[in-house]
Amino acid sequence: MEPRVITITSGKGGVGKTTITANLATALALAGHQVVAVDADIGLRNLDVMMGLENRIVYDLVDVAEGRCRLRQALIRDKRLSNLFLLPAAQTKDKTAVQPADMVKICEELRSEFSFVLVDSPAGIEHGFRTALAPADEVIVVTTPEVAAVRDADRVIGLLEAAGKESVELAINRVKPEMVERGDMLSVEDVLEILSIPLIGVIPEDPEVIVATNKGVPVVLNNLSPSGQAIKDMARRLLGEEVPFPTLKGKESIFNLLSRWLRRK
Amino acid sequence: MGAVAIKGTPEGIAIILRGERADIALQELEAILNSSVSLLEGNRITLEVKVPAVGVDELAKVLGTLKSHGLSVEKIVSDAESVRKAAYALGLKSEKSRGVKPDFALVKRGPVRSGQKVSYEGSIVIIGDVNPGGEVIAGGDVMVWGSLKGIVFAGAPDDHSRRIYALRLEPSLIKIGPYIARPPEGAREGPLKPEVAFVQEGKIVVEELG
Ligand SMILES: Nc1ncnc2c1ncn2[C@@H]1O[C@H](COP(=O)(O)OP(=O)(O)OP(=O)(O)O)[C@@H](O)[C@H]1O
Ligand SMILES: [Mg+2]
Repeated sequence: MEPRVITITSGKGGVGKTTITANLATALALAGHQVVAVDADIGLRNLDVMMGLENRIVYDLVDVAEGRCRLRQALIRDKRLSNLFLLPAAQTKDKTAVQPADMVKICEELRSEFSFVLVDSPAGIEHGFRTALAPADEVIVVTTPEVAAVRDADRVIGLLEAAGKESVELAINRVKPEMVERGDMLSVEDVLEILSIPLIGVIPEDPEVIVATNKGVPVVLNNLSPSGQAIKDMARRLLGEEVPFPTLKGKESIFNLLSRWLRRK
Repeated sequence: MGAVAIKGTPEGIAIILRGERADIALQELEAILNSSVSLLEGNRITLEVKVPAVGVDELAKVLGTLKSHGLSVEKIVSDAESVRKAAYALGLKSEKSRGVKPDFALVKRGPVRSGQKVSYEGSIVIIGDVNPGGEVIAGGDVMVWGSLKGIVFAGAPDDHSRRIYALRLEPSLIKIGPYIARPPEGAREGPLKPEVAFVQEGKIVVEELG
């Protein structure tokens, strides 16, 4: 299998990019793949915290880009999984220290050792976003079912299309079935209808995420967590499996049909 | 026949000369004036010249013919610079023909996403949705084969005769020529219901189609 560079981005901040990157990387590693997660959110790094690796950082992405260390030296091996690595972001440096071309070069090097390179993008559509997107073969756009987040996701998808990115898929995070039922929140179908790109994941709102974040143990390692299950499903879909989307409270799942239809295009 | 057309416009009468040859148009004009001049008298007259290669001499002949029937031309309309120059040489006002937008349409597959803008001097057909924050600006009509939730402008900049069609018409802002409207907030539920927006008595109105 060709190595795959997948960037996780969103437009609006705080919708769960980092949570999904950490968990997806862990899930893919659990499935036996060589995986590296790259934190491209320079200045606001937190992928290391979610993976529980913050105490092991010596060098970071900026050090690699500026030639202060070799790429290998900056990679941190996961505590639990020997085939999972992190390339951390710098904490306090200039946000433009890493250029898109640097990122492409670094990811090229990572491709020779990993089958999955997951890049966690910063929010927004500025320099950091463009840098995180530059090396991507595939893009996962994360949104929550809120009007503002969907609007920003739409904007980002438009920019990705303009940039010629062909594989762009959608993850909808923090879905609260009760709120959808009450009509207080957009449904998965509503979001899909607006954004009309293939669906790769639907992740429920889950208090376990916050617990897991604080402990630095990704939820996919917790077999009882519904969000962990949803992200494992997402990983299986990435690996080419047909995994149906669970129906929301007995409602006929139009998005199963819709997403299958969209994938066929 | 057919080298001369006469039609009423909001500003008076337009005499249109067309075809390939000025002499033929002149002959025909004379024939028409001889039979129906009384209908034209007293009107403000615009001469629209669509015959190519009309110079000062030809134009002077046409104006002389009209004058001999008691008709004086107020202005010349032509897209040919040579004709407008000739008009100028004869001391007449002239202008380019306007308001005739090409009847071509730009067809684009949607969705038109937030931050994207589709604009074209003719009409625009979007196959798909126009999402909130997306923008469509047409010199002609706009047709959206989907939900129209963004900003839409038909008849840009000043043609109020243009129309906007959509399977679901819920724009955040709608403009037709010089008229502007901001529909009430909030998405409407229910099945798609094709609608058309147009200007009636100085206001943008929306009507169900079919
Ligand atoms: N499915 C979920 N259920 C409950 N809480 C969640 C879920 N997903 C994310 N969160 C919480 O939302 C917050 C933001 O998540 P996260 O940091 O992953 O977002 P982000 O998109 O990376 O943010 P930023 O744009 O700042 O980088 C965190 O506190 C996280 O614990
Ligand atoms: Mg983040």
